[in-house]
Amino acid sequence: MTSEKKISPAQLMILLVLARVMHTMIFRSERFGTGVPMMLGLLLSTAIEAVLALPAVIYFTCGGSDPAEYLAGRFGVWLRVLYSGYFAVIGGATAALFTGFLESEFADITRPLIAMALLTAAAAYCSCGGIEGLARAGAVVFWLFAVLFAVMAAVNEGGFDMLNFSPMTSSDMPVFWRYVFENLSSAWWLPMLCALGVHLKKGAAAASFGYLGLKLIITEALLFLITAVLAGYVDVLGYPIFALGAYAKSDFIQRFDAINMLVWAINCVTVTAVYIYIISKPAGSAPPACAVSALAVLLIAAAVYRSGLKFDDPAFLIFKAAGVVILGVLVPFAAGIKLICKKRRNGA
Amino acid sequence: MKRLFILIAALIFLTGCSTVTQVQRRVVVHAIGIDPHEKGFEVSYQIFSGGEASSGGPVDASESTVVTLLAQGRNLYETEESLRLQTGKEVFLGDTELIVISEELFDEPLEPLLDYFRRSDIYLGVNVVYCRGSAQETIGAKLNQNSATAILLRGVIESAIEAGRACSSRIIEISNAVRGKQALPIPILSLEREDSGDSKETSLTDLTVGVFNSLVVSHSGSIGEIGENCAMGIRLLRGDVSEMSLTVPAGERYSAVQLEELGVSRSVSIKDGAPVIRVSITGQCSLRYGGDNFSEAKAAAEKQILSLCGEAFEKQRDLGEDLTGVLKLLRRYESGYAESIENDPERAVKEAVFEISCDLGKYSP
Repeated sequence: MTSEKKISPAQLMILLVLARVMHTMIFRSERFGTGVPMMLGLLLSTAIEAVLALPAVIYFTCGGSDPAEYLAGRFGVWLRVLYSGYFAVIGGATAALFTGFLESEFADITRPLIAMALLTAAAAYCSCGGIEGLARAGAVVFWLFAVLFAVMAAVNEGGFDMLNFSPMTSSDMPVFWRYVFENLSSAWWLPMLCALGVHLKKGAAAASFGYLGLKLIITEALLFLITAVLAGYVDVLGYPIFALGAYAKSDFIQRFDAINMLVWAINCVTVTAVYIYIISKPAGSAPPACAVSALAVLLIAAAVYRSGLKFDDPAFLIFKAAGVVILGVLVPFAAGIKLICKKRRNGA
Repeated sequence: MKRLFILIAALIFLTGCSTVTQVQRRVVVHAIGIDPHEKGFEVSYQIFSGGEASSGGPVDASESTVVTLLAQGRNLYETEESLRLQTGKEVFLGDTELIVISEELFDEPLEPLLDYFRRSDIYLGVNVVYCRGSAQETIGAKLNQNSATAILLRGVIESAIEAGRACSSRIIEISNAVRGKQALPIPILSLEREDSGDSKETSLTDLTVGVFNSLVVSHSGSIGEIGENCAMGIRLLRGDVSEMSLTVPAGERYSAVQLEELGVSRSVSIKDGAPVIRVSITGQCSLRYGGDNFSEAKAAAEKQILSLCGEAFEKQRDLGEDLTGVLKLLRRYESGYAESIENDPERAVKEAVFEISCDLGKYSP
């Protein structure tokens, strides 16, 4: 049992950021392009996320424990199973889409099922290390990513063309709103916060708003760079972070593909390990539970991969958004109301 | 946690071992020349040979370690496969330094070639240029400077771009221009053979290498050629050149003037329904050679800059294609107008008026 283990707000923030970075890594930008509408859309969706995070933040700040357990009492395990199911799908889709990326960029050498199996096996092993181990590993991966991002930006061969930042016009509005919605539906850091908040020593607000700030900085910086330097070319390459590395070159490093892949793979393992840890929580996150959870993730990954489903397919968007609203907002909201009412009763 | 990292590291690093290709089992391509062929394309691949005999009919059969291999196919994928079959080695294009397209392909659309470049492992910062004559001859030319032709030719092109006499034409830039429905001048590499007697060997001393013209290409194909003066004007109007050297008249002689720290500020407004683009060019100049009358040379340099910009502006209006980023400027600063001419951008380009000013100072290092 590792459920008593505690992590700091900064460690939780980094785990949430890594999950978001993973999502950005496998995000394909063809339908949105780049530019001001996306940058403003990100700003708006982050502001909305900050509001949506309030129930969970208030609940944990008031001293709440696992909201699912607290809300449903002895039936809380069933609510936790819902979290497990949600993250099994998110984890499976992440592994499948990462494999899809491997296949699109390295078609000659990628064996999709082997890649997915290796990924989930490594993630399952990592999840057995418990949340403390994952948090420490996450910090290392985060700094690896930060250094890679900074180096790729610094040695980028393209010039900055500020004319690529055209103001938004009425024709950009559909893209803007769709991007806002897709961003919000990808805010599964809220259910993650609910699932992992119990491990926080204190400082749910610091973890949440720190995450939002860091996510905004990283994603806006990425959007700024690819808009100013790559313009429409990012639509050709598809993956924005990969595109940034594709136009970076120095005497020391001629090609960033390999280093990119190294960091992406490590990040994918770490993030999938966190998902597996959350999935196996109802069973105590013991090694057998982690193994079964990893198997579930692998099966879902294989199914998602075979079906060709993408994160932005309508069905998936609705699933993701429903998970965010129910597990990330409504559950902590209800738990918070219950907790405050109980405190008032006790106080009275 | 130590074991965790060992496992992750093994997962990452050891997976590469399964499909590792030894260096000697690879054909490392340094330059690609594309010519038309009755089948489709004839592509010349310049490679470094380790000294062993190469199959496939090298054009340059000297003792040099640089050889050019030919492959034909209906498309570039097929020529690449043909090269693999000829050599029995994996083709590696990641080290390609230059792509040269024959003048016989001037009128062919670039999109199919760009599609191949984008999908291959060619670095997207590689310059794509046209050439006079056949690309095979250009790529296969022997230039005795103890360096591969690809490296020398790349140097020639980069020098022309650096000096502002040609526009940069990297894969990413051409691709963005074609996708954004803009026009882009692509340098034409000239490798002209001078009379070298009966000798079949050609050395740098009897070759004139350089970029003197550019081919303007848009999404619909090539539009026409421009000279280097026009290319210089385009670079100035775009504001993407920081230094330039000019030869200006000084009395009965000529002076060499070096321009440094060139800065271009551009603004746009709409007057009587037509875009008015104000371009202000500033910079510092120094007299490199020929006389000591700085004021005269400075005035002559400013006059020449205005003349170069005028030539570019006239050419843009004649062609009806956006060579100087007018549409981008309009989208950025006059978005309402830009939306109104979305279906007829040519009109905006043809109606655009430039107001250019130039003010140079004395260069003080």
